[in-house]
Amino acid sequence: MSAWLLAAWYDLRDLSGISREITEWVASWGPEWLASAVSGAIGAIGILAVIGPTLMILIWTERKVIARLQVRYGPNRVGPRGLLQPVADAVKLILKEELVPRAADKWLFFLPPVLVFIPALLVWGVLPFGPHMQVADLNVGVLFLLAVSGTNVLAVFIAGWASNNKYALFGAMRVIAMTISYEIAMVLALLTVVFLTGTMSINGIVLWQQQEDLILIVLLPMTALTFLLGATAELNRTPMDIAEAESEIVAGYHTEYSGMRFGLFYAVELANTLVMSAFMATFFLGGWWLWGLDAWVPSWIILLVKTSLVYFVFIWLRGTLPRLRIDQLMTFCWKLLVPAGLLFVAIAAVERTLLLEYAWDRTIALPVMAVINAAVTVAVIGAYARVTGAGAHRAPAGPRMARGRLGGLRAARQLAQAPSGSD
Amino acid sequence: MAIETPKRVHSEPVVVNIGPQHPSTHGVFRLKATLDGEIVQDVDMLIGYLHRSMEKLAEERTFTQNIPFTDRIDYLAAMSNNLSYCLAVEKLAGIEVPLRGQWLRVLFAELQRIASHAMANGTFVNDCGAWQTPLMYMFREREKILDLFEMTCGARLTTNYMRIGGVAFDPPLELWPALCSLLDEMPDRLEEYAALTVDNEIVLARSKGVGVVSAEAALNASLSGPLLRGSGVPWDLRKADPYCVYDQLDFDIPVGRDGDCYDRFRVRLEEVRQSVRILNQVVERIPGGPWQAEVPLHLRPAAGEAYARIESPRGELGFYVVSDGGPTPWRFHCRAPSLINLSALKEMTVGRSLADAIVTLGSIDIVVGEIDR
Amino acid sequence: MDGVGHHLAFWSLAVITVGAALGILVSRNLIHAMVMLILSFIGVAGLYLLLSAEFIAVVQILVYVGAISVLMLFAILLTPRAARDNAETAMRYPGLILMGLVIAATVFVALETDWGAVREEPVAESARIIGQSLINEFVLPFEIAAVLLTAALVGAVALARRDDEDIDAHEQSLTLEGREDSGGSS
Repeated sequence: MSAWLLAAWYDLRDLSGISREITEWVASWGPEWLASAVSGAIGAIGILAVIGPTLMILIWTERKVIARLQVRYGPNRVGPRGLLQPVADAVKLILKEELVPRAADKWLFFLPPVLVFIPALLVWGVLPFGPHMQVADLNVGVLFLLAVSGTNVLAVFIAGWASNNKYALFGAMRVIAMTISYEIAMVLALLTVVFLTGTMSINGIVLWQQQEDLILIVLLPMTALTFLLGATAELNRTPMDIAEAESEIVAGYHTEYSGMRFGLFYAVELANTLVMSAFMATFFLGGWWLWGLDAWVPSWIILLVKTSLVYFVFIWLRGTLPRLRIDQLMTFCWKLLVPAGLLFVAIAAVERTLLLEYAWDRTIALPVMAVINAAVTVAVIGAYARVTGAGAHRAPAGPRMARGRLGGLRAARQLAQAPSGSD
Repeated sequence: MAIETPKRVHSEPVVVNIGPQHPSTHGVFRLKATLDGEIVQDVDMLIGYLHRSMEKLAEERTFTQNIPFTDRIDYLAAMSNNLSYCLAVEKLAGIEVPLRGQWLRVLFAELQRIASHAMANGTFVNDCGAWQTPLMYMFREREKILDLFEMTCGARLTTNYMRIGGVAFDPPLELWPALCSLLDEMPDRLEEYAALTVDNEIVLARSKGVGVVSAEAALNASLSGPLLRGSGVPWDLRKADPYCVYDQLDFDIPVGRDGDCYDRFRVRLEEVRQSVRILNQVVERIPGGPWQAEVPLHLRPAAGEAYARIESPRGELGFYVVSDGGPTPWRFHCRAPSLINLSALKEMTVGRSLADAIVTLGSIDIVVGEIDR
Repeated sequence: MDGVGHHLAFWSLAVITVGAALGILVSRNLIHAMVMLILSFIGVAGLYLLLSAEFIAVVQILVYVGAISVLMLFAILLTPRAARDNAETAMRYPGLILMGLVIAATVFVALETDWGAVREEPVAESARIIGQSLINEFVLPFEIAAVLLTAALVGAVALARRDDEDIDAHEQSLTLEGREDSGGSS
């Protein structure tokens, strides 16, 4: 490729070039702090420019995909193919009256729709869209992600408490109990990744995958699964949407929110799903890297495609699965995800030591480790299924057929004692 | 100021009103639940939000004019309600229904059963927390059945199709090919439902062992329909007390094993399969001839009383009609299965979590129009 | 620490932190006080960030905002009548005196200390250095802390766990009486 295309400001493959040009230009005449402020502002505007339109498209996508999963058409009236549906939704929500319950805590009731947006926007700061396209390459990026996304709970809690509604309070309690538990599983999952890659910088993790020429989901399937499920729990999506379980507690913590306040919750839910998909893609699917293709295709498009894939999995789960009960969710977390997470932290530590200290040949060692890890994953899940009595061996028996023996209790007992071959 | 320290941690039970406006009460039904944390300590069922005084109103209208009322009692199984009421009046007035009329009644009652069970099972899985998907799948077939109703009598929900002495219209010729193609695809569709839900690990976790009613308790509570059969009692009025031409048809009665929500779900699913079986026989064997007996418009049955019962999708649906020789019923009463099935809810839910209570309520398959009338 | 940006950041963070801390004292509503406390924690995290201690800042958010405050909220919610306003108690004036003393002591220390500002460059990877020193130099305190936490964890589980009899009694109380409360700890 000719040199004039590489890393110039108009190079589409690396949009950080523009940012660098502008920052350098500002630094050439202005004070230093102005330059860093401008650089930060460019990053923030860039992120907002990504999130805003993406959210609009996501609302449409989610509704359309769910509709297709449910054998219906989905939005198809507003605009071409219903593409303007999100705009119509937003207009409707903005025009709606925003009710505040009389017994609500006025100040705290106002806060949560704003508060939930902050972590949803902040976490984008550490997401690498390309080798240099990252607002802040923190060397504690993984911790930052966990810390910031964890604060979401507070907003949800305040929403539930301030509404002065029992459903909302139930939702808040559920979401706290669940998020704390699943956060541990998620921390362990990310700790495994950090152990193996030896860095907490998110870009560093992508670079490690590039260097080792493999994506981490191959090496750590159980960890990827834990992260996916932990993210599902943190995002309150089915099968773990107990915090806003529609059939049980109406809408959970945002029961009392109407109009655009509800709209903000809804938007943040989607934005969080998007960002979790992006991090899933970054940690386990190689992020912006794709076996050299990133030299030709803009890296952020690769990330976008991978993010969409993960996002589709989230929608798919939502469209397919019912919801678990809270005790079942807790059991699942504490009896499967956390012990398995600890096990894989140990495994990752051993593997890291073998690779680094004993300098095993990576071309052989890594595939072998992948096979071993996959085997352990299958074994752990199988053992869990066996212990809890889940799985294929508990295929439920269908109803018996009563042929001619109708009646009351006696007939019922006769039927129950009849050989099971009668059905 | 001395602060009194309680010796034990005291947690206060919370009273939560589930309904009358709630996504899971399937209408305006109010469940006052006393919760300790998430555990249900007590439930109080408050009904009457949809009371329309049907039974009293019916005393002011002629026997024929009352048929549209029955549509609105159980609005998800209008055909069954029509049928039960007409059977009661026919019994009272001693009217013989022509053979084709009887077969047509079976045809539409069974179609209605499939439609109603599709609704019941779909919403049940919804109550388990699915995001509408199984409901939409099952609604697909329900829509086709409602189309058949529309073809025949012009209405989809409140059909007003049965008449005293038969049925209102002979179905149009287009109905039969549409019905046959529906019956042809039903086995595949049933497989699809089963694949989505029957072996689904989460559906199992949520409904197996939840809301158990033993056979004894079910009989004591006078439950009927899929609830009773789910508890293991083989009782179905189509076999036990045959009406219309059910005694000439070949079908089985599915009976559950444990009496939990899952069994009720499976029983309903299996009943749909059996209904398809019945419908196939009906399509093959339906005779020609008149579909309605000659009945005077202003029917004046001799003084007396009659009770006729059928196996509606929800259980034993009976109409009790008393005549004093006048043109209107002197007393009109409906034995609504939803109301009586609901009475077992407390026993099923107390001591379990709120989430289980919702699933149990969903498995009872109430129709509030029928409870309140 | 020089430059307009640093000063701007420091003063806004300081105002947020101290203002929120004052809010805790002024607020009579426990939940409001909690929200103020969280805001104060966030301000402190910002100050750490200003000192180039990214790791500590992130841990501050993770532990104090994400975990400890949630724990406190839980405790408040599980306490009966916790949401009521704090009434005036007899402890008001002693508390005021104590607070005055603490403030006086803090101000005195702050004024008397020779704040020898460190002129070194901030370490690049604070997390790595902290990790290495925890494992090498301070391994004994680290392990002691770990053992202490484990002991606390086991103790909490032992306290919270009911005997089987109690569980039976609890379930019976649920099904029969409904109102009778079962004991928390054995």
